[in-house]
Amino acid sequence: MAARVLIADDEPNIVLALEFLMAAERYEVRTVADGEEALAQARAFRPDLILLDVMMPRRSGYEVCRAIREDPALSGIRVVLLTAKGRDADAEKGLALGADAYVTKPFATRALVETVRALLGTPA
Amino acid sequence: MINPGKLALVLVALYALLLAAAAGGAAAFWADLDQVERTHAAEILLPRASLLVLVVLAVFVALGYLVRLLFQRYVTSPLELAQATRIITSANPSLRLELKGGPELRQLGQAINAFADQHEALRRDVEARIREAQADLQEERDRLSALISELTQSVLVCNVEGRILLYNARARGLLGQPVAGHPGGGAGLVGLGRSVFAVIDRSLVAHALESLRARLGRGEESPVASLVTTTAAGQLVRVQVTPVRAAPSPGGAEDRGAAFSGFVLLVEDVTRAVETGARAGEVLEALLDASRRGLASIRAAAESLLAHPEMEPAMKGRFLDVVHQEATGLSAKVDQAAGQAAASLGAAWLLEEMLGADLLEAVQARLERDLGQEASLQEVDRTLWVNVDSYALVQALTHLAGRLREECGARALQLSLRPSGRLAQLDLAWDGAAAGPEQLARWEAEPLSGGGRDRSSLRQVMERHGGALWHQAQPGRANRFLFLLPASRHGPAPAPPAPSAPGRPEAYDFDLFHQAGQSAELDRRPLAALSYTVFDTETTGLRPSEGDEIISIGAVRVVNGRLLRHEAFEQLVDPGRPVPAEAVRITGIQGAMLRGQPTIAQVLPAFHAFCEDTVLVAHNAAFDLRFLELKEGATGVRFGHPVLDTLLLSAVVQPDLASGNLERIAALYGVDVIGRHTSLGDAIMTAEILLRMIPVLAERGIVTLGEARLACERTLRARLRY
Repeated sequence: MAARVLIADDEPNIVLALEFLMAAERYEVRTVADGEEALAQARAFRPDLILLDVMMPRRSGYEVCRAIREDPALSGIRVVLLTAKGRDADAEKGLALGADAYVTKPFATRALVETVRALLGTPA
Repeated sequence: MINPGKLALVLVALYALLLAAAAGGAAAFWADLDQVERTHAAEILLPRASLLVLVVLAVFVALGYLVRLLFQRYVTSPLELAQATRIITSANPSLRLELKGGPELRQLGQAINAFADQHEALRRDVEARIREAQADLQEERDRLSALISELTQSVLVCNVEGRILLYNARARGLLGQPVAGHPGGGAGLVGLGRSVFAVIDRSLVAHALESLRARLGRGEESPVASLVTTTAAGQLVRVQVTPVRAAPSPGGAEDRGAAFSGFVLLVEDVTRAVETGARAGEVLEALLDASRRGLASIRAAAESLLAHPEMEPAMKGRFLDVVHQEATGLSAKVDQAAGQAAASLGAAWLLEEMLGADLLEAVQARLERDLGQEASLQEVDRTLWVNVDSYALVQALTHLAGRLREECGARALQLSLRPSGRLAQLDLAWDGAAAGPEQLARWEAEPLSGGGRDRSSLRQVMERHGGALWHQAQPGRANRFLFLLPASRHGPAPAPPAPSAPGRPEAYDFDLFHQAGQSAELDRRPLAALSYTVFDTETTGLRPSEGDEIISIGAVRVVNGRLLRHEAFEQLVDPGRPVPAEAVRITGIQGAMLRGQPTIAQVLPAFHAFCEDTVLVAHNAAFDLRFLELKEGATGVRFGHPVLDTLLLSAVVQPDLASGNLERIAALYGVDVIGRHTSLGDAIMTAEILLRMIPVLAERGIVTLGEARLACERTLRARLRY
């Protein structure tokens, strides 16, 4: 069965590419545009991995990440944080909140795809 | 002058002696004669008795003259000499002795006169030297004072305890500004003898001084510490602290290196600079953020397109749209950021507004001096202001002129300046060969020659100005370089007018440098050398414990024996109760005048700050202090200052004085009675009385604060006993 990937980002232009790339990897993809929705879909869609933008309306990616890690029912989800903030402190924060990877925009699509593959290849 | 009494006494004694001798002689002679001889003698003498008496009288008169003469010569004249000599030494050095009396006395007189000549010459010489030295000192002080008052920075000079010895109007304006709604009226916090800690946090300054002391101790030559703080009015200021070294003591103190007698504070308002810096940071941050997002979309789209050539045309079209849309958005963001950055980066690079003509003249002078190169000014718009880093620009033009001469054989240069839209166009024309594009590229990129401070290139200098530079060769015209520089038609904003400049003579008081520790040694310090806050209050009545309240506080400062009238505190106070008719009659303060004034709870903290580190003085101080004390609980402000009372002090001087009325005491000390029953007027009067009282107290052996306080206490006790 194909792995499920949830894409949470409020910028349709990047969502378009992410969705295309994940679909090309034959993952089952769903997209949301804000943090609240992301958390709801994390529960409803039960993704194996979330590509989570940090700066989103209603709930930031950090908050969503923390909520996922605090919910034992969601413990299997890998989280990849995407952000336009390039500071080391932001990356540290993301990882400290339980993200599995932290990717700074702009990123090489190949590297992102490989990160996702690696995370989904290893069972939780 | 002959003392007639003394002379008469001497003469009478002399005559009596002679008469006694004559009488004795005659008696002995008579006794020796026998009866016959006696009869004969009587026969001979008696008819001639009148003759005998005449002879005796003549002898007496002659003797009298002789004695008078001797008296004059050897008794009176020396006395006169002594008297005149005393006058020469004490009162009138140019007086000379009248030469009279005997030859011995004349010689003495001459010797004294010669001595007086020498004495006078010496004295004149010393006086002249003192005058010279004083004039020098005064001139230096005036120069320093003038210099400091002209400075565009705010300057405060303080002694080691933080008392202000010197300040300029700008410092007063920046730090001493009464804040809107801040009680105290025109009473700035900056003034001579005031504590600088009223305006700059004591702990910050102490920390800076500590580090300076340590660095001086390590042998650093001229350490400077700096701190950043906010003023009462909320501006952000950067303060540079520089120590004033103590003059080397003749004894050769052991830790001379680390000792200093005061410090200088240079205060700069950095509110705008910090805001500008913060704005520039925000612009950069926003630009980075937008760039990352836009680039992420573009890159992801482009890489998807490249990695999946089999993509359907519709999908390809969507990705291409994304690329176009994001790239367009990003361009707009970059433009916007560039505009914002130019505004804030300009400030960051310390561009200053100057008259364009001045810039050209500076360039001209520099070319002449450094290269011996003549340059003429042509078509200079003398109304045009430019916004430039003049140092770097002069450097850049000199560099370019040097290259033109070496490589293009330029001999004569012409500079011109004209407006060009919102910019200023500066032309540098020369009469030699044209410069090739490679040459220009090299000149633009190399570090400026002679630019000791930084190694910027011509291109970097132009970028810093947001300007441009290009080479223009037109047939039939001289080769030219064109510079576009930021211009401003208005010129710099006028410097804020200096707040009403304090009278220069009062603007410094270096004697404060010599003040010892204020706290413990205060009592041992002479009254003449203390800082006082002389104050008075007007109240609704005489019974503070029964609800009477202060309606006005006035105070004035006395520092080192001078009344500083412009350092005054005057504030009406809303008593929160009606003002009785009696109080209105005495003070002239109507209830309506007090509405909207601050309450005592607001005024006392400001007044307390005004009094910081001074001795409080009031006439019948106990009355005013009682009012202040009763507010202690409500305001939390405690007036623990040492206090002197002019009423008690006047009683120390004149215990029999019937009335302690301020007007009577003022009259006694020759102080004009003006502005009676306004708190500031009474405070000024009290201050003048205090100043005149200090020397009178000194005559009675009351010199220090401790002695004065003790005397007050004794008087108070003596009064209470009755």
